[in-house]
Amino acid sequence: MSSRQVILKTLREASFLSPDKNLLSEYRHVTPMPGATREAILVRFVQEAVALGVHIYRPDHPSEAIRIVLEIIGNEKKIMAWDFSHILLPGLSNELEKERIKVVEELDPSIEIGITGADVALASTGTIILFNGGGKLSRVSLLPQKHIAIFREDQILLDFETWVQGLAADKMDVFRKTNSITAISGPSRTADIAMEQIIGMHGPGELHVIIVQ
Amino acid sequence: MKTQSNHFVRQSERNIQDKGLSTAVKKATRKAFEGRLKAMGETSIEHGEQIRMQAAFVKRRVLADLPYFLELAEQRMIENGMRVLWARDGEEACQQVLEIASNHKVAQVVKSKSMLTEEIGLNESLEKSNISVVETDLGEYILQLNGEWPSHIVTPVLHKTKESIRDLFIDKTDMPFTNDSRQIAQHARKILRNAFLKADMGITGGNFVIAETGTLCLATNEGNGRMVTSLPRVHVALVGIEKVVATLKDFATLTQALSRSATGQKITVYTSMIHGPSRPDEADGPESVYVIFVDNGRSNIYASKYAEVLACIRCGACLNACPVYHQIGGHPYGWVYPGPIGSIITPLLNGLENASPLPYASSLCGACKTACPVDIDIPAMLVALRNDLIENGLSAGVMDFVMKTWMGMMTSKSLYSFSGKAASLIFNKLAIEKILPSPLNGWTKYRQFPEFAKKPFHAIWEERGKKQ
Repeated sequence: MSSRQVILKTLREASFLSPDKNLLSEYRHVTPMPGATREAILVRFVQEAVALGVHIYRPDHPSEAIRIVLEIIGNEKKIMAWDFSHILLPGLSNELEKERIKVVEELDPSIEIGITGADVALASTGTIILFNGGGKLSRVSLLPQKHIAIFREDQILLDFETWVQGLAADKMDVFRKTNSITAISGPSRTADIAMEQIIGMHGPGELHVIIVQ
Repeated sequence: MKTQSNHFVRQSERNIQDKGLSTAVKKATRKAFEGRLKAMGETSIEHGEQIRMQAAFVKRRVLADLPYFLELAEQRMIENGMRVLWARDGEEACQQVLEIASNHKVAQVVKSKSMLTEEIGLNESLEKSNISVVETDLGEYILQLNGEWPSHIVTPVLHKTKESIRDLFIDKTDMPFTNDSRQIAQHARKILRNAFLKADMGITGGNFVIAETGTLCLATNEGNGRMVTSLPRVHVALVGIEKVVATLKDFATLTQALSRSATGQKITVYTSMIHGPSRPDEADGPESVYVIFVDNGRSNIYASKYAEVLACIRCGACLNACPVYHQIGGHPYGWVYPGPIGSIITPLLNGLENASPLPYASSLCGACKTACPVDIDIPAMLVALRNDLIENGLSAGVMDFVMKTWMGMMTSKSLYSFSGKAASLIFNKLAIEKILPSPLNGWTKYRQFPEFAKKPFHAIWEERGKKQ
């Protein structure tokens, strides 16, 4: 018998008492916000993200959004970015070209800036969710010291449970098509040295979120 | 790792005297304890309890059909392009990892934190085969530098002060002197960044495997988990067979309950959901992803009266809540899993005879059960294990005599009242400054011996009856 068969056989021969179904009469969200309006959802996202140390920007106009991006880039001349078709800020790639800022893909540890979009954001935990693949490189949100994520206000959902329920309705095809999905909540951190919060361990130490309309 | 749990008492005695250690442990566990209360009770205490019960329910529901969900998870993961292996014990799992490493011509491995790989001694196996292994979680890296094992499931170096960590980096690496924790972290970041970029293979554990989608889930804060699973050519995940969950919906509850219970975060910084090797249109991600379902004693637990312990999601909340753990830290428990949950898992996986003090390493106050996000009845299991110890003749013989004598006294009214009077007379004489003489001084080494009341309660009760 293979190890697989032995393990499954042992498990099948045992009996584990099913829990009483009455114990769970309804499925509860971890942080319920019944009847939250779009405005309340946006406010909650901003609150949670700020509490995690995220820098939030809400520009009125795309040109202002581009100005913010350039300001964060500062003097850097080489950056990483997703394919611009996945970043909802038309005109950004032109402006970068004008400023002679090169977008590269190589694993160059000296690169300080990564620009991505986001596929979904979650209000209750201040989370952004990135589906990797197809012009959306995972390394862009991981290797650089500063990560800039640009997305639209209407991409913000209430919470993890709401997102997951939407996926189930879509038969989860999109979900399973990518090799990995990353939910990011704030900058990289560690508390391993005497429980002191240190920001920027292996991943980006700065997360800039630009919410466009 | 070989268990040293039978040295529990003397290791504990040493740690109680270690001021630096006990201060660090108390401070860290207190912080995590308060963080959990705040995060689980974010909406309200009642709602937090309901979420705890929901988490407890979904874990038990999947355990009730474990073989079905394991097979479903396997099938879906294969559909997603992963390769799935099964290992009956640690040795087989290590052998499988070595074979994968040899097939893919792997020389360097980076690892993200995994308790299961500690349990099966994977690093030693790899090193014996001349494959270099670097732990990349900051805490685990510190332990690797010092040749230590974790003292906590979630925060593995919680027993160490900032100064001792700094000194370790100065001694073992080329770090210049500093008192700034951020600089220590930056120094480690540089060394480890190099290791990520050079590695051929990444090894991880798995916090959850979602059966309905064939997803491997990792919850991390530092970002090393993402590096380990996206930069090297090969990714191997070793997952205990109890880690499978049925649906994405269940995962949503459990992953939030995990981070809230572990560190007080609403969700970890990075929640990675992995569906196999990189797709044809992806530049990032490994060429091959292997998932090894490891049994290593778990199916035997499943077949025992302790099956419920397999609901554990390794959050460490019971350690942070435990008054015994507060005093001694994690190392005296003598194996990979310390604290209340370790006192159950260690004897079950290593044999009662190799961990006989652990079921007694608890005051049975119940704080662990209250803190547990999946409501495992830890105190009841510890009592059951004590029972097993006695039935197997592994309990200290003197207790047998004491208990039988006690039973004799308690079942006879005259003996009971006589022995009470005698004890009061003898012990009030013996106890000097509330300390008992040898051989009874073990009891008063860390406690005071209270004076007996002048009149026992049953005498007062009788007098009261006469007066009325």
